[in-house]
Amino acid sequence: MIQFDKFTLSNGLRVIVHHDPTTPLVAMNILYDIGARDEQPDKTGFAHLFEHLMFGGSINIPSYDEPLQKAGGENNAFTNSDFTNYYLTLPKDNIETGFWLESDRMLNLAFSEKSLEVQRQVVIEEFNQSYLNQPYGDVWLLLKPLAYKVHPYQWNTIGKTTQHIADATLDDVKSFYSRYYNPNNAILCVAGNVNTQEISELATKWFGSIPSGSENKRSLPIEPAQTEARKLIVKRKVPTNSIYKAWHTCQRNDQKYVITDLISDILGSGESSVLYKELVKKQRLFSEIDAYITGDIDAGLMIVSGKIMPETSVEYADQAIEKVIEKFCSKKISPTDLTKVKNRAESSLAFSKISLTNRALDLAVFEHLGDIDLINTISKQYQHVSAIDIQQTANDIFRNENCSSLYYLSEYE
Amino acid sequence: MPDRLIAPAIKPIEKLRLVNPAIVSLSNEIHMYQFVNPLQSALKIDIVFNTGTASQAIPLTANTALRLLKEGTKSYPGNKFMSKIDYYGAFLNQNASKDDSVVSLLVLKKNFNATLPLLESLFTEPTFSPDEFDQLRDIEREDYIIQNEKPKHIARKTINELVFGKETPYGRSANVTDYDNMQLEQLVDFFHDNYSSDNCKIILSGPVDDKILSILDKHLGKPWNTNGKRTDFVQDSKFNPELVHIVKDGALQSAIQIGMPIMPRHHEDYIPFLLLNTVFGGYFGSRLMSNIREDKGYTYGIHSQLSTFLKGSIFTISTEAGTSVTNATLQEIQYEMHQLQHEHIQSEELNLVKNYLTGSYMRSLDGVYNQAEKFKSIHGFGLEMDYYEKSLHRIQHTQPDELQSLAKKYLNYDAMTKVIVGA
Repeated sequence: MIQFDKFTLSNGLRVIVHHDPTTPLVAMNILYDIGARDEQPDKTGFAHLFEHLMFGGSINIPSYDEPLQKAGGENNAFTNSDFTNYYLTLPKDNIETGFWLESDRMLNLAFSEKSLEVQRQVVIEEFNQSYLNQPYGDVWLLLKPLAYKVHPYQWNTIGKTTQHIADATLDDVKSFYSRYYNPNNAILCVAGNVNTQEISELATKWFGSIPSGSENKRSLPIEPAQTEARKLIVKRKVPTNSIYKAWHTCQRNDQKYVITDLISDILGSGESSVLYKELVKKQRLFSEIDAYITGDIDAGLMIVSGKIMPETSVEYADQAIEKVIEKFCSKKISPTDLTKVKNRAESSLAFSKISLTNRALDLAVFEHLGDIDLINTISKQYQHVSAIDIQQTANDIFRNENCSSLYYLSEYE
Repeated sequence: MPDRLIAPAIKPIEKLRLVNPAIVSLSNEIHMYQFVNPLQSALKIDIVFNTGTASQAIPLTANTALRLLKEGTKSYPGNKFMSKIDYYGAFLNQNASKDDSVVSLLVLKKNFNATLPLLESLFTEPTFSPDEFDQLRDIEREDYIIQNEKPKHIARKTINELVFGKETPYGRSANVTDYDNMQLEQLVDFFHDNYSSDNCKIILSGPVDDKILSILDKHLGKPWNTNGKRTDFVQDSKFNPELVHIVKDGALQSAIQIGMPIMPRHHEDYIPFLLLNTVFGGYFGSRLMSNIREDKGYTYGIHSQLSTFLKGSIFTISTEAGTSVTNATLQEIQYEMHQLQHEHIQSEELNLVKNYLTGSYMRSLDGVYNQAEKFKSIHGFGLEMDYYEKSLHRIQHTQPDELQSLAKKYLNYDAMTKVIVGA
């Protein structure tokens, strides 16, 4: 059991406290309810660029990093399609430094032209390093717009192109900040050898006077059901042909989410998974194959991706995947295989809770999803999935017209 | 309203309180080092063999031998082995590095008893089937070919070759023909000679108790693979700084690695140099990051680090920078070395770095699993947990003068090899 307390300040900031007496450190996690899905189609990559600017100094504190490092702390942040998350750890005795720094950048930023100019460049280099200057780096830049035609998940967190990042202006930055970086749009979680009373006092002292912003009502376009199979074939300077297949699945809050997650594990997680056993070990068509879900809040994707062995044609490899999935859908999973995949889910959840930082993050993420108790109850949800649930949901997902396939081929062949 | 212009007082960080692990021996005299926390549910067991890739006569032998083990054993043939591991929700890892090889198992305590027969089987009755071997080799060759296209990977491999010497045990890299020439017999011999109960130790972390220890003794307590022929190796690095440029057509960035041999871990300069390295390129606020990323925007990240091994150590600077700013990046790296050689580090910056390092030690030593990990990284050097307290003490008492003379002694741009992969 992960114990926690929860309260809300009058400005709308939600605060979660998790007591762990065994560590000399505290973890602070602040999640802002703003992600790449909230961007305009002609200004993509902005939420992530903005994350970089949050380290450029705030209204009263010229440098975010220096005081934190001086207090023995360390921090980082990440942005995904659904939210932007900032986290730090520091020795418990210096916890107030964390409150001071995080509250000041929620109160107001310094907005320097220099910081914007540099971070635009840094993010373009990040774009190059992670997506463009790597073999297979642009796969997601191709696959997401193939699968999503309407919903903003069609672009990646990094953005559609480096041009969108180069075009960002200080005015864009300011209006984005004033709209989204408000206490009523954030969740703070503090974990460590702390008690709720002391965190309540610190939160009120540092965050209590920050004014709320207006409410952001999200009305994102809903991705219409896909009605025919899609295919994209590209050739790149890579050594090996590969294939990526994406099927639309449910939202994160849907009851079928845990079932879908288990299906991806059964099919393609680990060396005893269905796809690995059949296509890597038995038929020897692939050198690697995996299945996983994107795990987004709005309707997500089930992905199967594999690297194809040299002598195999991509069409044959694709058909082989489809045959395995067809067979999988046609009958109920064995009790042993069901137990196996539940055991793996149980272990993975338990192992992920070892880290203090992860616990603080998970609490904030579940609160953001709308049910913080999931931190303790989701394990049960996995245990309650039946073989029939799996078969029904699999048949619902793995329809031909629901699938987008990307053939990512070697130019050298 | 709090006064936001005044930073909250910073309290000096309390001392690290580290205890050495309890040691017990299995019946076959394997030493087991325990980091115990009864409140945790996950047990981690690391079996550390005192032989790594430096001891292999032919590249790829150590790692391939380790990975082939899980492809089937007598009691759990073929895929049954991994199916069982997965069934118990366990995670198995194996990796050979220069000086040692580690097989790790992470498993819930309640499944420990059911999983240990698998671990026993892995070491005492692997099948080494020729068919599984052929397949594993083919899969790994494909992975090698893909990795070898990554600019950063090529740069790292090349700097390692050039600093240690291409033909030496530490410097040698595999190439694709090594996969074609690999023989199953080599792997089997290497396994029998090195992955034995008389050439390993065990590091345990989590809710270890007497029952856990007796299960371990039951399954891993008999001698296995003993009396193997272990060969020592000689690491004779002959280093000459050079500039290597590997051109990749159409590259958007250059992967840069700059490196040279550096002092061993027992050297008196090692700990203060670790501090100097942190100032130079060892954390987010470092000179290299502040200048080349946060001021110029040439890169997403730039770091410097020391890697120490039993018979040699390497210092490296690594980054990926835009092709149009590759030369400018190199100049700034050179400039930052020059600054450290010619100007004292001011006390404000030095104190910040000392505090940062103290916090960093606390983080990396928080909880039994991290402690076990840190213990694993020093025990081969004959060090114990008090090493971390002593290092911190040494760091706290290092003065700007000493750092400046270390910069003069070690941070010489012209004395380093530069590898550039890209434009």
